[in-house]
Amino acid sequence: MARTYAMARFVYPSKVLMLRGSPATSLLDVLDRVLDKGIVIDAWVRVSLVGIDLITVEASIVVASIETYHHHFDAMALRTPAVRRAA
Amino acid sequence: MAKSKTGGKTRRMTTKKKPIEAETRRPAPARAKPTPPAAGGDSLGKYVYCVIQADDPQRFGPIGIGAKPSEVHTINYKDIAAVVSDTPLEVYDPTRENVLAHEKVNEAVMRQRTVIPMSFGTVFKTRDDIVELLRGAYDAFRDVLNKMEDKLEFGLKILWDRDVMIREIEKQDEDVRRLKGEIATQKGSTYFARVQYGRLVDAALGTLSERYVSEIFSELRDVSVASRANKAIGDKMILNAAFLVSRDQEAAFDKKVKELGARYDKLTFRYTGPWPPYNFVNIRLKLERAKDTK
Repeated sequence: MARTYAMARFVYPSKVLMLRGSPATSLLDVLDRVLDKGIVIDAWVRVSLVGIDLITVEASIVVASIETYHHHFDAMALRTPAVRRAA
Repeated sequence: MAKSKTGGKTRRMTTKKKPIEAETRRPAPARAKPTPPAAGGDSLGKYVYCVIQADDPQRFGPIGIGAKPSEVHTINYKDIAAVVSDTPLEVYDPTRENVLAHEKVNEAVMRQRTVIPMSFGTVFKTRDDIVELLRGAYDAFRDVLNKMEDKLEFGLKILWDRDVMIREIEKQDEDVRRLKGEIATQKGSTYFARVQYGRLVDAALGTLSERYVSEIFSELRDVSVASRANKAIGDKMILNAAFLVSRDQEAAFDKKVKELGARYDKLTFRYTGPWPPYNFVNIRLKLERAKDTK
């Protein structure tokens, strides 16, 4: 929560903040992505990989068809939160 | 910084005690000292950053993760390759340095190739393990590489100042304005007026953010291939989205975002990228021992 506030204040001077390829890219934006997205190896095994000589791979889920994401977005957009109970 | 497992995620708790781990708890000395490694070969593993299309071995320079950045190179299988660097066999905590190093390599590779990013912290013991990974999931990687070819991810977060929006709503909504007046002037209990006011304001904020989000999204739809809305973080954020954009539409997308930013001047746009397509690739791999190697 505190982080969000800091970030928001940071962006305020310019309305569209471009962070493209800049070293200022926030850690938060990076963490949003790298921790559990992309190719993800089963967490337990990731740690215990050390010591495994031969592995077999099982691709349980492959990328969902690209088109479906638009639908997904529409559904999400309809229930955008951002509304907090006024105390 | 190559730290061993302090703090960090709960999943690390499941680490089994193995002889080799004790050895890697202090990575630097372990490498310097001539301690005989538990398993045959050296005590170096390979950190994997991403999978790319490549017919020949590639090198990307000494930009690897860890205290002593090592050469980032590829391990190839058929026409695909894993982008890796040598590293002590250890668990990397998601510290600022480590996470940025992971991302930096992905960005460097992305300048030249389409990448399928690996999530943070994957270390394999041997080259053969990685070849096995590429072989085993070859079809999935091939498929995703084709789909992601010449596409980039951009992040767009939209934030607003709730108080500013509430003032806006008070200006426009007669009922809200009236209730506010009642609360300010009424003698005795204002409880019901306040509850009513809160309800109206909440509803109005919800409607407003939905309207903004769907308007902005429909404008960006034409200049992107796909999009995805993630959970908004905190009550200032009304949109936390990722867009997949073809390289040939990058300029158009860019222009549109800036245009929208200027048009919606009460909102704050936080626009980032290009990123590897993290939000559009979801490959979960389960690795198993081929045999009991014990």
